[in-house]
Amino acid sequence: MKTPESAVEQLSREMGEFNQRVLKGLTALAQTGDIRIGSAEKDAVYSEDKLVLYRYRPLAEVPEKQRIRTPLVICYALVNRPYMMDLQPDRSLIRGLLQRGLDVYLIDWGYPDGADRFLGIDDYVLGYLPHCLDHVARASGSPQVNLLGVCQGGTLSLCYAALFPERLRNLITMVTPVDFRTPENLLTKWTENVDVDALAATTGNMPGELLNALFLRLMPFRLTSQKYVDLLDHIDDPKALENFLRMEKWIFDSPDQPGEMFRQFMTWMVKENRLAAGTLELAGKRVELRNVTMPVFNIYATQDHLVPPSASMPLERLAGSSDYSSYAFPGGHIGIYVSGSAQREVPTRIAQWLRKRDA
Amino acid sequence: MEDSVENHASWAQQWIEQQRALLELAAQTGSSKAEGGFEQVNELRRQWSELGKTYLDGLMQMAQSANSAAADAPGAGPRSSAQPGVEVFEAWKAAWSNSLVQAAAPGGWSELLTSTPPLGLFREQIEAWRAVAAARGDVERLEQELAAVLRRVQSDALTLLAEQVKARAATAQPVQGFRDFYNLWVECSEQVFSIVAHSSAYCHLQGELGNASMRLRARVQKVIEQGLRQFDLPTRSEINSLHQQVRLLKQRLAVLEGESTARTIETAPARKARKRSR
Repeated sequence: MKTPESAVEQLSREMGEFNQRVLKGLTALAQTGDIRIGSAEKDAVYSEDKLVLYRYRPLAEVPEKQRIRTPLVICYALVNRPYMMDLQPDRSLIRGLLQRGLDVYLIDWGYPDGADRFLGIDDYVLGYLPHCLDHVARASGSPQVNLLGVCQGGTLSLCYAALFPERLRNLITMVTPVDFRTPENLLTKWTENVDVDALAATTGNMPGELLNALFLRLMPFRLTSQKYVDLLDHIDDPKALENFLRMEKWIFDSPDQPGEMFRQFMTWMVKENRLAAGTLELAGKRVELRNVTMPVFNIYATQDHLVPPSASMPLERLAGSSDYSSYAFPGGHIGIYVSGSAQREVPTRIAQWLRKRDA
Repeated sequence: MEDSVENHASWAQQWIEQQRALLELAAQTGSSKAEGGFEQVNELRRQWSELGKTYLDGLMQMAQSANSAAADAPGAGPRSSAQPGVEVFEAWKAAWSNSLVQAAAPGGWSELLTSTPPLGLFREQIEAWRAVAAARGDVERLEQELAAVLRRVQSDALTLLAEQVKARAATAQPVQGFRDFYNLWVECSEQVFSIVAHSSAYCHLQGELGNASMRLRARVQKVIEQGLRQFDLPTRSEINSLHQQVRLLKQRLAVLEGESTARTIETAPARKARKRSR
């Protein structure tokens, strides 16, 4: 009969196993080569300053009759890099959309530097974004386009949609903050006492590292400790390790935010909640969400700790659209792009919704 | 098996106590660090005092030599016991030491150092450096306050952890080993931190620390730019000014381009009509 293991024996056995895993992990990490990112083929079709607009090559295997005619432009956030949309073959929203017959364009804002520190929200909403959409309209021969805004890019897209509704056939917002002053919004609470003017005047552009440090602080024990301990469970699985490293690269590959853009966004959107209040003005033009009259599909994540659902859901009440739909994805801010269920659900729902409105 | 569960609870309790002791130690180190600034000021005061005394001793020796020389000079009168120069310097030295003792009262010396307006050729530089020192003091103070809050978070998390370990020991799911215990610790820490992080006191403190850090950075930048100008090197302020000018020019150009395009569109039918009539 086996003698039950004492707590001390169990502890020392566990520690021994843990050390073995760490050693194994270090060996596995040392053997990992360069991490490849992206899977779908694309071409740069327009550029302006540091911005590049890409068109993804439509998949030949999708029959003509299954294609959605109106092109879709993805407006990503300025925080982090847009390759999250096409991280790897089995984790790619863009690949999923291409497989479902969409003509996909993606705006890559690039890495802003000191020369961009005085770019404001109006430069994006009244300059870069319209230029990209005008280009797509000309190139595709479709006077109207579909716009998909992601996170902060969704907020910019809403501003655009309110100012230029005639250009958009449909608008999709993903994990997009609209009302920044809801009780769950920890980032808003943290910025309440921050002198944003002084911050922007001092740092110039808002360093990506500083933003990352802030995001890590939202869940410090999970994000700086447990995450790496959990990695040891999959360290001997090369695919899992590669996926982890790819995500790690994306998380910390953070461009700086243009200083003035950051200052305006934090002051007007976050602190003063002007978009939701209907008091936002860009270059003398009032941005009113009731002018967002095209069909709207609002996708948010139920466990999003960065953009809580309560920040996204008010769009239904504020938008002027009579054709509003929403989808509450059961997951977090990142899981909505990379989780297994997201690969099945999100592109399917987007494609189905657009197809119905592609007359 | 029950023994094993009890043992788990016991080593978990030991670990929690050990962490508490470490937190207390960290709190002590933190408070002595906070006092470090005052010690530095006192040390500076001591050095000033020494320097002043040495200087006055030197002057007194000079006065003594002068007195001796005068007494030994041909035609000098009878030696007097009074040495006017020496008495003056003795009085001066005593006054110097007394004033330093008074200034050393809590906050006295540091207040004196920071509130006296700088004078002379380097007044601007001194003022800039003094502003850096003040901002640095603010950052250090707020960092200590934040560290104290975070220590409280850890301490409360340990209390919650101890309760959870006990509660689970009483159920069918006692803590199963170190990893399980670690995950529970993370869970408790996040729970406690989340409550603190949403509190207005924490939001205020974190915001203040951010603002103080920016003040420090801005003041350091000012000092650096002062130095760069001495060597006719470009500064960030100059580049900012150039970028702003470029941006304004680009905006004006875009407006002009827009107007030009609109004019072309407006006049196009008239041009076509003229062509047709030719």
